[in-house]
Amino acid sequence: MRLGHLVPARVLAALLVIAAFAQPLLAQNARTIIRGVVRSLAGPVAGANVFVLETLDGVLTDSSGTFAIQASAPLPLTLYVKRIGFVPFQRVLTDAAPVSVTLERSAPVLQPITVQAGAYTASDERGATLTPLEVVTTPGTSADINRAIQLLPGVQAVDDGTALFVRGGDFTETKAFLNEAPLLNPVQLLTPSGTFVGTVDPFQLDGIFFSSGGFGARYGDALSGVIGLRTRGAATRSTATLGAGLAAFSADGAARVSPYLTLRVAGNRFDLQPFLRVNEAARSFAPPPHGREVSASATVTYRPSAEIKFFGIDQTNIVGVDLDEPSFSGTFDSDVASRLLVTTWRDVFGRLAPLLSVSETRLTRHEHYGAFALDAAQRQRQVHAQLAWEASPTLLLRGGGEVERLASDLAGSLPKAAYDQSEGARTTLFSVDQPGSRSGLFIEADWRAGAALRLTPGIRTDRSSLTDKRTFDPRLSAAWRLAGALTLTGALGWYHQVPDPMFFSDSVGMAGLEPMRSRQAVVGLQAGEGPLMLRIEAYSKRYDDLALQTRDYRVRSGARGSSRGIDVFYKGPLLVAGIELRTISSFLVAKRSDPESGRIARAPFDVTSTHAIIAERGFASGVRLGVSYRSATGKPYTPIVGATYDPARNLYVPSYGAAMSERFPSLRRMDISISRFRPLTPSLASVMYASVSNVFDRANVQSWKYSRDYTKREGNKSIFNRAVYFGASLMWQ
Amino acid sequence: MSRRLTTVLLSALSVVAQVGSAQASPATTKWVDSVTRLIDAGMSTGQPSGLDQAIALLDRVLTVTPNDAIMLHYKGYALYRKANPMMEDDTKKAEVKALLEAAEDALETSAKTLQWPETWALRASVSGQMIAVGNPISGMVLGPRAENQIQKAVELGPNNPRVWMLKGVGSMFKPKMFGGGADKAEKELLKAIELFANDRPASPLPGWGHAEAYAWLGQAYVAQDKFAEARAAYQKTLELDPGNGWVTQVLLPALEKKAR
Repeated sequence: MRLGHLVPARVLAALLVIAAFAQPLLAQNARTIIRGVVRSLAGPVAGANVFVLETLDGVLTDSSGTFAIQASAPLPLTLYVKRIGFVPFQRVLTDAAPVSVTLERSAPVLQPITVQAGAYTASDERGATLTPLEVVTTPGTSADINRAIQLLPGVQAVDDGTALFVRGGDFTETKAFLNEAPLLNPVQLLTPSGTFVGTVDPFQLDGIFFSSGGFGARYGDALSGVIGLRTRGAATRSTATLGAGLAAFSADGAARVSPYLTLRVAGNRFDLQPFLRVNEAARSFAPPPHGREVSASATVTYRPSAEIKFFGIDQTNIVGVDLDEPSFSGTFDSDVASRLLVTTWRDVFGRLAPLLSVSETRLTRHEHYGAFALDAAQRQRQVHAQLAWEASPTLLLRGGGEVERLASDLAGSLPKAAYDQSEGARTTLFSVDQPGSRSGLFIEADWRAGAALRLTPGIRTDRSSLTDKRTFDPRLSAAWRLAGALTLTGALGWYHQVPDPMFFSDSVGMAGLEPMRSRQAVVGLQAGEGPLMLRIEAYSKRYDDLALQTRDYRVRSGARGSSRGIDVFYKGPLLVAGIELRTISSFLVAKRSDPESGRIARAPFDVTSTHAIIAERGFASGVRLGVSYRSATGKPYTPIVGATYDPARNLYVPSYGAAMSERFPSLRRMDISISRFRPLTPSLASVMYASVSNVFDRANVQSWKYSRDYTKREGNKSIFNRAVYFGASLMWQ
Repeated sequence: MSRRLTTVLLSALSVVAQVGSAQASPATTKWVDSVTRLIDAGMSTGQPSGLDQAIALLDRVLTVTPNDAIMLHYKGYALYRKANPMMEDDTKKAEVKALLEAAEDALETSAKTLQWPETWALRASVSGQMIAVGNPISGMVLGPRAENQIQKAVELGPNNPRVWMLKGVGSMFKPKMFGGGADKAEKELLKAIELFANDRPASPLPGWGHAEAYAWLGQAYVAQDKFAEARAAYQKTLELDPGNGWVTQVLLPALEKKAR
């Protein structure tokens, strides 16, 4: 039906004419002229940016501070005034009266001091030690977070595993947190091929913090070091990646569902069988290492300062390693599964910034080898909350705490004597159902005590149901900018950690263990920041009330220890243009009570010097080449000096020399990696990559394989033979 | 050796590997058009007020949407443009340094989410200019950094004329012993000019630089005493941007003086 049938033509024409004129008339009425002047106590402010927040109509003030804005919307409108050196001004205008604005001078902006004793960060933020790219491209690290951290100062190369032995401490004394949730360390039993702990795909992370000591009161139940991992949050656009390599397939994707919601999923399936066909293995595997990792996250940013993040990850690792020992030859079977679910909420309300994290971690582990058997199920739940209050531009107060409950259900058998691992050997059967809870509170200040001094005093208190003791840990960290980019740092603090839950069991542990304690003092000097940096740190640590395990799996309490050392880190360009260089040197003297004799001896991780050099260069063709070389003193061990035959059990009983009196040969290794990034279309790119690890195929012996009567021995080669790996990825964005 | 190897080095994967064009909202496109008009006017007339207006407008938009990578890119670009003509004035070193630092801040933040080749090329130019206003040893860090940044720009936009133009500008100022020189700059600028012939970017993608490329090419010729070629290049700039203040008031008079 046409409109003309209902309305006379003349009337319609008149309406159209009115409509044609009405639009600009209405728009003209909607325009608002806002006039005024901007002043400060010192007089008119020229060059101030004055604008209407709703429409962004605006002008710069003239030399007399006056302005006139023709706003394209009716009142009420929000007037916003900005000028460097002044606090922004904002006012809702309801009438057209001239506006007089008086700007207040802002507090002088202090140059940030980001250097902290013992702390290293990997992120895109200013002051970060490494960028995420530097972490994943470090040759020989296989894009593994822990292996990349192993190439930071203060971490000793003790074995082939991914565990972090930090400044003379055991690997169980370094705690990892993912979105504030603690990652469970496996129970303290060594695998035959090195101490492996679970890590997370670095491509799912956007920030890594590592402290080799002197960390603040926020972190509890960690004696030596701390790793903080932060998963990626909101995406600016949807992306997807597909990857395939010699031993794995992977895929990940991020969907920006709306400006407020980002969903991410990532999956990875690996199987080293094809890799082992191409490369010679130092050990035989049955089955070869295989497993999968699946993670998903949802990030809700309901306003710019807020974020709610749900993150879950599920990992499995299965491997069988053939071993040949004097008392037993067979396969070490290991099947480990872990799952973490964590929800974090953070926001900013004026000067208050709350953070809440709720998490659950599960770890199941089944391991069998001769007389040794372990079936473990652990579940840890934690609630962590903290509140930061910006009391003034130079003082930030932070307080909070956590409550966690760890349920450990462990069962299995341990050989009565380490030298008899055979299936018929005498064993200690254990069944531990040991729940434990811990609560902690902390308060910390971050105080700019002047233009050049930053102080971070804090204190925390913890109480564990396992030790039934409350501990208090005062801590202080300081950074003093001496001149330009030269900063002096220092930290002093006390730290406590609850021993492994298994150590409290009646069958293989002992009751009444004390919280383990360390005291750390760090002093350092850093020159430069960002791409050119030299940092030297010296530290001294003392350990008390340590709970250690003997080689026959018995627990010894009240052990002591100490470590002293110097770490040197340099990062900068080589004089040959384009080459980025990192060098790390760590010198250490670490001592601990020998669990067998109780006497002080070298610590098992007393690697007196560790050196690494990493050189990387990018080329215009998209090729990136990296080379790393590392060397370290061999770790100490207690030698076997003889053996007597036991006819009843038809085996030889070894006798040992002085504790930790000998060392394995020093470690040396070179790795090379090359990758090529190539844009295929404006939204599609490919990366091809290849790497050669342990280029010179050095044996790097880290344990001995003895004959049945212990009269002969040969070195067990590192599991990292010379090996080639290659693959490719496609990225869509 | 584990599954991490798959995800390995690839370095760049999620980091370097972000490609693609920006998915800009109509509002962003509108602001970009306004900003680029102000910047072009400011550059063409040589009057800094146009650039100040552009920076003020960007500041307004970024007050409301502080993480808008496209606006951050243009803020870095505008600040870089504002610093350019002040480079020769020794009394303004501190101001130039502050402008360049602010430009780098904006470009660096933009580059975290928006992988425009121009962003990296501008970062390289900013790093190069920081050497001139920094302390004598800053070149040790900034030189290789600029090199890496321009390489990344070429990786992301191997056929982007603005990348090749800024690469050529970088070569002009880089000593020959470190791989620069006027002859190298000439080749890179000619490549840029060739690429400009088919350069039709749609807003909000950057579209500047065509006329400017000839102005830089003219300077590369002057440095090699090829005065006739230089004059022709400057004329080409004026054909594309009639009345370009830089060419008419600075470059052509300098050429005539040197050619005498």
